[in-house]
Amino acid sequence: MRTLLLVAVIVGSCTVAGVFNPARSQPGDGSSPRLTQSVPSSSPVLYGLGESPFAPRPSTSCAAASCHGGGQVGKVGSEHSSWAAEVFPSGPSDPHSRAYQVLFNPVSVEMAKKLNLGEAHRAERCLKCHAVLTHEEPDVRAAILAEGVGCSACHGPAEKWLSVHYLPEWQTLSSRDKWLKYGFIPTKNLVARTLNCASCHMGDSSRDVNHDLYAAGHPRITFEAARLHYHPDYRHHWTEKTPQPDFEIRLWIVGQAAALRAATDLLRARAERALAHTPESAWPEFAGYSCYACHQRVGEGAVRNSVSAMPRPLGVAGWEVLANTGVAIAAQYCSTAYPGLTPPTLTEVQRLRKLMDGPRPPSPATVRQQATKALGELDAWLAELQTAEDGKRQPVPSGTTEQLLHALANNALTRSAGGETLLADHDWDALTANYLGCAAMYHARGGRMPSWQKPLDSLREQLRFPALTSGQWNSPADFTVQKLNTLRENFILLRNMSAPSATPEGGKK
Amino acid sequence: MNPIGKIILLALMGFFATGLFLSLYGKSQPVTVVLPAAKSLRDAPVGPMPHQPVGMAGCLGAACHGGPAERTLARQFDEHTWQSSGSCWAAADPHSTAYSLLTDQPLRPVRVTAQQIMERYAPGKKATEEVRCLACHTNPTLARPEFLRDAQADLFRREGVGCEACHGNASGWINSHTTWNGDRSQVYAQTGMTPLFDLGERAMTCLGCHVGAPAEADRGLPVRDMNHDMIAAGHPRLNFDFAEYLRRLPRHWHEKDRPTNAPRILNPAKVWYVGRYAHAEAACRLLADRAQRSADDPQTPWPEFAEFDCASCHHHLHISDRTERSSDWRKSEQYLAGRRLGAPRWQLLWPVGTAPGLALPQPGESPLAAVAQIMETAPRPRASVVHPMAIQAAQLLRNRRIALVATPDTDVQRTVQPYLASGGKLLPDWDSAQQLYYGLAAFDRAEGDYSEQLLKTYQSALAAFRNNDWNEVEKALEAIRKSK
Repeated sequence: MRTLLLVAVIVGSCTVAGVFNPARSQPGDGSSPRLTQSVPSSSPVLYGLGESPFAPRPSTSCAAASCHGGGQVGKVGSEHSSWAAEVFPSGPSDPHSRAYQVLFNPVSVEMAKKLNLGEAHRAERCLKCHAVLTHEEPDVRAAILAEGVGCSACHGPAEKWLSVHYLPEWQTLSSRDKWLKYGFIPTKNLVARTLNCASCHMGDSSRDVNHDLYAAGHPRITFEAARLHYHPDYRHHWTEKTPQPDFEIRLWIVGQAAALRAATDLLRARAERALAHTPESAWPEFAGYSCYACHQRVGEGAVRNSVSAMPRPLGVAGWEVLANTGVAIAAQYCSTAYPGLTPPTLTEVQRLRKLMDGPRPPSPATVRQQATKALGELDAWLAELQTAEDGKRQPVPSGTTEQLLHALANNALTRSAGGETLLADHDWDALTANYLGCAAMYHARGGRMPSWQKPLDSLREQLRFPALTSGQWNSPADFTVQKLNTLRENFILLRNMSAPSATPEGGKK
Repeated sequence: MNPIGKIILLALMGFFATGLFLSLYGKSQPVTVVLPAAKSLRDAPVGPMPHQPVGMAGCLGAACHGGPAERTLARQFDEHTWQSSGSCWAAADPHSTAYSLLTDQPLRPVRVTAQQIMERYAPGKKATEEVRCLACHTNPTLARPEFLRDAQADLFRREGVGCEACHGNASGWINSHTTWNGDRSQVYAQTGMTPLFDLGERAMTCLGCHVGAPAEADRGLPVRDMNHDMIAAGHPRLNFDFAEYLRRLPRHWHEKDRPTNAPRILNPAKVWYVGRYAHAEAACRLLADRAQRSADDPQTPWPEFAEFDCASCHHHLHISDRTERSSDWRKSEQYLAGRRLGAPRWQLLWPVGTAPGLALPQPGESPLAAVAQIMETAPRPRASVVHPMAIQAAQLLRNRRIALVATPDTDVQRTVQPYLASGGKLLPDWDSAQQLYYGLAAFDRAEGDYSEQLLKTYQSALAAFRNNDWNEVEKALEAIRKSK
């Protein structure tokens, strides 16, 4: 049964055609595509990152009734049916299927006008994330674009693997070969999966939702893999093989690394563009900093940091706080989730953070240099995680959810010189990152930890954006000291109820 | 008494007697009795200190500036007002409380105490020991690290922003200033007295603190820079309008024309306009200084966020909604005026610089256009480019300010009028509305007394500003502009 399911999931994962700049794709003359074999097998390759030389295919190639278009939402063989909104509109569908249509709505039209991008649905800058961009002939291109973030976006361009991915031999290929030789992204591997989500949901060197786009009306981009995976608007088209709590523990850990990797790559690219003085660059690029550090009510006087320690110099907005908050814990616990792994030191990442959160904005040249180093460090870590994901995984030791919950709640707190427990950081992003981590642990336990639920509900209530008569605020407009205080109290509750009296410290070794 | 005590007592008495003798008769060697405090001030061992402070006690003698102030406090001024100028200041001037705001006993109510600010700005340090704070909350020349432990200097600092903070340190003129006649500008320059009779110089003196200023070694002035770090720590934003602040100040002088000494009435519209030019000049000087300091001082941030319009960043975020009037105007061409979307706006200095919703001045005719453009440029303003441009703009503004002061009141009033009257629909941009309000108020004062109706409109505008009610602000301002 298990093997059958495994085969089904693998086949299911192959529902696809591809993304990744097909600028170098082969002309349609039928000549055999070249295989990428230049990378020696010893150097780490992160699956799905960078450009694939292969071309995507429209999902008509995938959605045949006998392949992935079975028409039974949620069933194996009906992956495309579960994904596509229009075909089977019952319940929530996959928002990725509407990503291209969004570019026609009034907000997008206006944004493109304001930014001088021409038409949003033709602008490469928008299409990079809202569709699968290809340089195939016009009608193929149009068909692929119209599918939005279609099969190829996450599963890789199907040119090479479309005709082989259902053969028994396909199962014998390594993930590495599937990616390098066929352009197939092995999404079963959580590192490959999460890095691909992050390349749009955080951005990367070629995809940049910057402050100009926000100013024009684009919603804020935030990414936390574990919880975004279970977004209520999102209809899964596959069945997860790994049971809980292991799945969500690993996804949370991998997600932290992937999010910060994407943020660092984006930062490096922004620094490079600033150095080149390209017209679309800005420095410091505000989109890399905590939104609500600036977009907040002024003149409240003593409130905010009366209940928190100040982790950064005054008046400095934190760099990518959401992606940075939990990463040290993820590094510490990666050897618990993947026994045999050595926790990374992340020294260069710390240096980069220190540089970015320093009293004055660092020069783009310094940032480029340090971000490159940090990127190397993160890539090495992710490569190890990726190998561990490919290999045979031991079950995560029991008690890890409690330990992680404790570590995350504790991460939100600090002790003042006077012995008082304060928030470690009152930045909304930091608090939210810790909250989402705690919530992931709750869900990893299948929601069967009633004592955790109350403080978690309260945390969510304090972090939620308030309602406006005509809709909703797009910011924690009423983030007051009372709310911060309640957040602090609930993090203390969570920390105390998961105190390590019953569980060994750290979980290392 | 034990013998050792007797010896010490005798030795001390001998010592003092010698000191007394030397101080009375031994003029050639006065060193022995000079108080150490006074010594460090007078000798100025580090950096130039061209003129020494004498402290308020030197001014407030009953026969000098410390006479009874009933009439002055009641705003009745004549040729005798000088006799009570010091008493009036001590009784009513907010500058007298400036130093106390740095201590635990502020003499005016504050929302955030100095202690709270310092906890975040420089933990472990007192505001009274931080030269950046002292630079504006006392006589600026006393805000030097080497004077921090000086008892005499400490005593002077406690006077707050006292006589010499504005009039200049008095060592050079305290004796002679009672005898001056005729054209004073030369003797003021020689003796170190600030020519406050010149409207432009007066404005620049206020702006040295109310906007900020670079250090001036030859005048013994330190850097005065209230930046984003201090605002983040809790210091209120600097909102200054020369005309309005001057009007509200408990006046302690008889407004006289120099050198004729004839009484004069300042034209409020001219005061406002000169104040705006001086304000822009001060802002450019500070900007140039920040750009320069950022090159070699790691503690000076660049770009300095305090240079920009606060509300460019500090505004709430709405989900874009057509029914919400306030959600989309920041994306309008009118507001952006060529600036890239999402780029913060350099500070508003209307009517020297442009303001959204106000037709004049047009970008082409504003002497600030180039500086504003470079400050709003991508990827970021380069300090090395900004520095010479800001210097140049400050120089240009200084020349205009000087010319403006020499221009007859009625001409200035005529120049100002179209700025206030022209323009279409206002944007809900707080700074431009506020600066327009001050201009309108000054202009209407220059025109004569307010009519009952006009006064009511002004009062409703003021109430709307305080209640954060944009619709009412706009309504009132439009009504006032229509009357122009």
